[in-house]
Amino acid sequence: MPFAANLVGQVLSCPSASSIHQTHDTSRNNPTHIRWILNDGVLPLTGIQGCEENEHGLCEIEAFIEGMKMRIKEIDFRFACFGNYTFPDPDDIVDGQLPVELRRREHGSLR
Amino acid sequence: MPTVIDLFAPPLWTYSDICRPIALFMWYGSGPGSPISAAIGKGYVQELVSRLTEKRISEFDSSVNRSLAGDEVLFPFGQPVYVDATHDTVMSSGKLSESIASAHSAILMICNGVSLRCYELYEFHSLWPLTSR
Repeated sequence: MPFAANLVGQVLSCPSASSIHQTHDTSRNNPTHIRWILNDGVLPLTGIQGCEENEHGLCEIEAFIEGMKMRIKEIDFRFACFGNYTFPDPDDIVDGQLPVELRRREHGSLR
Repeated sequence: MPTVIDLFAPPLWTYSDICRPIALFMWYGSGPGSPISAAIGKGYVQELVSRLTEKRISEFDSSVNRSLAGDEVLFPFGQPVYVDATHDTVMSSGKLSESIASAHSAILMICNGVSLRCYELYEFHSLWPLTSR
């Protein structure tokens, strides 16, 4: 198939790049960072809270996980998939969710 | 008779003819411009966190399959490599499977409407129109 895309998440152990979470445990490779490679390029993770700019696309693993947990909390699956709402026009959504004020209006309340 | 090479010659794959409609479709259909794309990809993120932390998912409030993700045989931890794949026929028809929406959602998390401008995302969406893993 043409245009087969690959998105690879790499969990890495690279203590030299870790300024904060230095570990003295050398007996096992504790993961320190994660990065995502789309085809041949690293994806910037700076949109995730806690992930700093890094030319190699690296984010500290703990910060990334916390960012993901926050993102999970932000997404209201039940409302998005089962709520009775109207798509905004114009559609200027940029984060894959109905804007908060519209959700509040249509939903009554947010969880 | 055109060869396969001809089929993918640049004139047939110009940005305005092919890539732009795909990008628009992706953006508003299953990308950041859709009000449901984040929700569709939520399950993938939960499974990702589950694997990274080696903790079972406890809240089943999305598309995660409890029977699969809750089972240590079907959803094992501690693996050196995990592979997720999408259905290529779904991809090639231009529709988005749950998994590619998840992949988009990964981009969404990554971008979150902040770090990248729209047109840069368009380019991302042009990057994976047909099949994705």
